[in-house]
Amino acid sequence: MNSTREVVILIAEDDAGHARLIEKNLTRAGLHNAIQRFPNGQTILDFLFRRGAGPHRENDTPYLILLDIRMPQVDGVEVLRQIKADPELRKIPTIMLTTTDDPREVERCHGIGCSSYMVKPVDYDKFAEAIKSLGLYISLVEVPEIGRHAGDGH
Amino acid sequence: MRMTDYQKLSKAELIARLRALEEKSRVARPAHAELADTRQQLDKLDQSALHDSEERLRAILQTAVEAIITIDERGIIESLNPAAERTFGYQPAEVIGRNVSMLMPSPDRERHDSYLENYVRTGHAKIIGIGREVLAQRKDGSVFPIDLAVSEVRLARRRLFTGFIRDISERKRAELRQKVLYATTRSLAEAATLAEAAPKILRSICEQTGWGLGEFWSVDEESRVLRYVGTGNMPGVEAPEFARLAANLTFACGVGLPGKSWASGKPLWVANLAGERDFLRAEAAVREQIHSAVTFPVLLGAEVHGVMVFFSREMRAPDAEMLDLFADIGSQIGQFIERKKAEEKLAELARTLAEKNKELETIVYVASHDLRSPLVNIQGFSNELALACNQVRVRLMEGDGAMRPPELRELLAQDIPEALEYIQAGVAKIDSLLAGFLRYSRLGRAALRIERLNMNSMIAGIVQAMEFQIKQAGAVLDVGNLPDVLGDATQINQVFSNLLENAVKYLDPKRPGAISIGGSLDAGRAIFVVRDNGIGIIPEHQDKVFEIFHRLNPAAGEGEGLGLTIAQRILERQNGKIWVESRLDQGTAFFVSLPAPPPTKGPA
Repeated sequence: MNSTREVVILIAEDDAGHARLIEKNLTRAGLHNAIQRFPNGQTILDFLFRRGAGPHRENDTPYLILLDIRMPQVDGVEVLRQIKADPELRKIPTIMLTTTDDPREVERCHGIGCSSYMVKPVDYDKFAEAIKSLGLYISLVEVPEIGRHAGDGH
Repeated sequence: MRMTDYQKLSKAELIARLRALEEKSRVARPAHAELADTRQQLDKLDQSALHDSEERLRAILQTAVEAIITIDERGIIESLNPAAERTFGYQPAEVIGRNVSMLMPSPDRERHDSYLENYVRTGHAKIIGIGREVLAQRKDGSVFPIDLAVSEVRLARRRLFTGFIRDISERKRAELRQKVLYATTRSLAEAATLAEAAPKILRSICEQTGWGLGEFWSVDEESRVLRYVGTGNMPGVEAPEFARLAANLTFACGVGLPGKSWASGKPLWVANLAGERDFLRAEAAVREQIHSAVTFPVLLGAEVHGVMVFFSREMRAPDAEMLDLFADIGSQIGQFIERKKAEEKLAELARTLAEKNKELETIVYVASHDLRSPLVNIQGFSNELALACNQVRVRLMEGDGAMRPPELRELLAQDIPEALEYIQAGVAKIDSLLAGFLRYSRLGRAALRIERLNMNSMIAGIVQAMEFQIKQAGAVLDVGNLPDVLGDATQINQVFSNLLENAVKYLDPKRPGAISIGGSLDAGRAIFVVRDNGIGIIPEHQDKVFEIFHRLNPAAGEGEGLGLTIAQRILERQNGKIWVESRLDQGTAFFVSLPAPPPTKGPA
């Protein structure tokens, strides 16, 4: 299966530094997927639901979402809730990123249906490790291509 | 010598014998007299001893503390001692020869003959030789408890019964007092509120003291009237009309029996309600056959917290002992109220503490996130930096110093400066967050100087200081006439500065900015509103705006997300409030409520 190359990683992260570190470490871990960054929850929702003037989601592209939980205005949990409430978008694997490991928060996100939950570690090695395993996860998981009929092939 | 022997004697011999006998007789005569004397003396002594013992017995009976009454087998009183006279209030002549049952109340009075008959017939004793507590009745009809011991005296042909009687009213009163006070204490201890305990307490007082019906009235602190709390009664003494009337009654201080007790702080005993003009439920009392009433205050120190009223169907004369007991009950309930008030204060304090604790938890939660965020960058990018430096070193060493400029240039021009920039930004961010924390925590410690503040001049000062920012934002500002408030000048100034800054900061670039500041008085409070036509806040975020470090729009320039948190904290400490009304894309209004000064002067 060669579809991993095509997966576009969407990162919703209000902290530019965090987004940059994730990008760098994904690349260092050997993942060369296209990465699209959103500075807050609203812009990624606009992209996914094809609203507003910004870029919109493509029909034939498989996506994977990295969502920071704490963002101003629309936070990650709210984005996750809206994604999971949509019959099409709910198929996109979504990984929550957070700086805290508050068990209530973890439970809430799993309750809504996130695929994975990651605490951003302060320890750089651990962080890189986490990003690498995330890359591995992305390469292993079968990412559905939404907006296409099953068995369409290519 | 026998008679026949003398016949044999001569005359001379007889004369001689006579002489001898005469001589003997002469000698014996004094002995005879002595004998008679002695016998007489002996008789006298016997008489006196008997007299003495009777005297002694009489003295014992006369001076005995216990009442002693002697009756015969039929119950007829033969004697009674002075203590018995005193105890029962009769003269001996009024009772001697009459049946002892006259000294008992019903039903013993009617049954005593058969008690006695039964004993005489069967020998089966109920009291005799045992003793027990029974009721007795005085001449005046009053009934009192006695400890009665009866002993049986068997004489030659008949038997007597002696009753030893001790008046135990005193002891019984002490027992009653203890019981009532104990029942009151227990009811209070088991109940959460006085209203809950009142019916139980009233019922137990009724049952123990024989007052048929009790009511508790509590002083309503706000309207200064006595309000009905509850009623309790002895089983069988229901007075529904009375209770129904009570539920709708209130007594002002000095009005009605409860009101009088409230006004005086003293108990009030009305033996006959028929003659009482102050009694408001006189008609109902007639229908419910209620005749006497006693009312006493529930006191806490000198302050009356409520009044208890007891009614009786029997006419009851004032009783100092009972009043004393009621006074004790009153103060006991007063102490309960005091304790409950202290508990309520404590609970209130606990609630405030719980709220504060929740607030603190939120702050810690937010802080743990916000402080970690820059740390992730600092550590992440210092590692990037190390990596980049290592690569520079490797490239420089590689191939005899043959450098590959484009790669090096990328490291030196992009990766290394980028990492340094993020590291510095992270450090600055943590610094500003910690400074914010310090500012916030300092607010809680700052001493307040609450005074009358002229808000018109304060707002004018703030506007002047912000003139440049307002002009730059191209906004028009309208300030109305503002009422004075009570507050700390520096801190209230901070609140309104923050609000005005926010209004300017979150104006919508799509339309010309309009900001207004207004104020009005409402029920002793000054209400201000700072209104803008800016970007607005969606409903889900309107609560969050007061959260520490929350920033509506981080792109909207400087700020650490503390302005509203600080405003809220300041107002909280000065008996003020802040709340927000907002509509997305239309604007936001922040309301501030502060205590207004008492209206001694006209508004400035």
